[in-house]
Amino acid sequence: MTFSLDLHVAERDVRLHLDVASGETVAILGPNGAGKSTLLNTIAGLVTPDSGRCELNGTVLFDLPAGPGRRFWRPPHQRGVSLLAQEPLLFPHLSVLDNVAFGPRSAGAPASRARQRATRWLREVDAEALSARRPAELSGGQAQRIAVARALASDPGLLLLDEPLAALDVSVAPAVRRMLRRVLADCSAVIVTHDVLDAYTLADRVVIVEDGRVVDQGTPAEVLDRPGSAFAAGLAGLNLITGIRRGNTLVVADPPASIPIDAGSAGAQGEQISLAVRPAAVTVSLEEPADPARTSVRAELIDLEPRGDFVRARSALLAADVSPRDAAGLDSAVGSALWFSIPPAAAMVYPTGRSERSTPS
Amino acid sequence: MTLPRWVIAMAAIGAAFVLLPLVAMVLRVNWAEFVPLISSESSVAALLLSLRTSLAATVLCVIFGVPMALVLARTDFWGQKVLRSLVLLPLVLPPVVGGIALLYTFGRRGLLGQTFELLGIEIAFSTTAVVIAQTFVALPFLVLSLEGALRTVGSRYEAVGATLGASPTTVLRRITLPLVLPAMLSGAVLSFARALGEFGATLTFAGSLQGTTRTLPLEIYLQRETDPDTAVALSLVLVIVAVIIVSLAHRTGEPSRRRARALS
Repeated sequence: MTFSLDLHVAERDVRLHLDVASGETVAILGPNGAGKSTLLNTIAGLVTPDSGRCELNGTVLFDLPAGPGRRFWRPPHQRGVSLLAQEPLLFPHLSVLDNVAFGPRSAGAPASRARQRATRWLREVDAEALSARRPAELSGGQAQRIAVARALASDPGLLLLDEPLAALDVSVAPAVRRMLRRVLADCSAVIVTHDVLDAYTLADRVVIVEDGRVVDQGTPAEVLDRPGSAFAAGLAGLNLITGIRRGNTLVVADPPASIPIDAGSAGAQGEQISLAVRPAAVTVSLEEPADPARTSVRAELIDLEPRGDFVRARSALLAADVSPRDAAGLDSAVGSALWFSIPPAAAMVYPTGRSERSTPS
Repeated sequence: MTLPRWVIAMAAIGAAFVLLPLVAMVLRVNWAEFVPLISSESSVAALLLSLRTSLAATVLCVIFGVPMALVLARTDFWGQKVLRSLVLLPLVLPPVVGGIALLYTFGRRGLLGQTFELLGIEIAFSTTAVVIAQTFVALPFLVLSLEGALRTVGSRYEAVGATLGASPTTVLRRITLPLVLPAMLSGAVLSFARALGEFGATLTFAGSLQGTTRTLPLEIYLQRETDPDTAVALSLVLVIVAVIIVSLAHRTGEPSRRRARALS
């Protein structure tokens, strides 16, 4: 284990545990205010938690016992932890090269060696040609590339990334994401993100944090294809229905519903199971579909929400993406009960607890 | 936006109020005798003393004012607000009162006077006293402008520097101070100007001995009684020095604005 963290912040009711293996990239996903940025700032040494313990490559970063005991707090510059924020925060008075050379210089490297190292990292992020520029003369994407080079040039034991692509233009984010994927490949890193694409492309493991607790974790596919929480389902763009298995039906308490499931579905009788399905696979109709293979439920259509080239038809149980043409036909049906139906192969049914899902199916 | 005419009229009156006295003074200058008047022995002595002491006071302001501004802008402790108001007190204190306070601190019978006397240093009524008086009144100018700049720049760059492995001293030297350099320079220039114009505290605490404590403002005040032509000529010299300083301060202030724009 390269990195381990136990963290407790009473004021914000945060109680987290996190491990990062050597060379592993862990993505932390969670709603706003879940304590993700607090987590990164604590690891970097910019925020002090109430209690907790953190260790990186055998070095204690902090040890703050909850009870009596010796409190230890290593200052940020002695931690070997680099923090890359949403904004690049390049030092405006230094050239690009000197920005990247800042870390090696601070570690005591002579100027020429530090610059060599900086040039190597600039080449790594495809920004060598920008060496002589000032940060004010860079575009957002260029500046963020250089911020990545600067963070890595200080040779951190752990790299922290706080939504590194969130402030970038959609047209440049993909290129920066590809570059991150390349440089993070053999680097221990923790990345906080809102973007499920970041999790799929950059992370070896995904940790879902809600209300200051880890609620789910696993590989991106495990966590996002078979979500265990409404938040994860929302990120992955899936309908998530959780209920109890009774025979060959999934019984949902709120809103009350019974959904027929395949007899061969995972999950024992009386156990909590989840059903996940893409809204695009769900169809809506006024009459009950004739095809018996489809799973159909009757639910009240709450509203029709235009989303660019399709319209999302929402009920309390399921959402369906329909074409604008079909949506126009449903317009007068808002407020009344309709049939939402799922084709046989589209739904994924699995036990809700993560431990039982970790075995690949 | 189009300004109402009455605003422009009021502004013109205000500007005239500031400029007219200067014009009146320039009109009174005895140009024929100007050079001899300002190059008399006592005038030159006063001018050189003023420049020397003001420069020393500015250096002291930087040495103590920069750390003070850093502590006020970057730390958080109980009583900080009160301390800030107290530190900035010389800004609003009548200089004569400052002079009396200094006298009871560094004077022969003052709080620290005895200590200095034991060390064989007598401060009151010496050139050192002039520098102390000028530093006392000029220090808040530097602290105030630098603290504002430090707060504007914020501590985010410093945090990044620390996570890149830079020790607090390295962060201060390579990030914080370069970022606020324009504000530090303009603060130093303002302090220098305030020191150069110092009168009340100097007269009270340092007295008026030619060549030792009689700075240019004191010389002007003294000459006004006996030789108004010299007083006016020296006043003009002080005005010219002040104009040069203001334009310098203006110029050093500009890069900080350009940088602020680049950041936003």
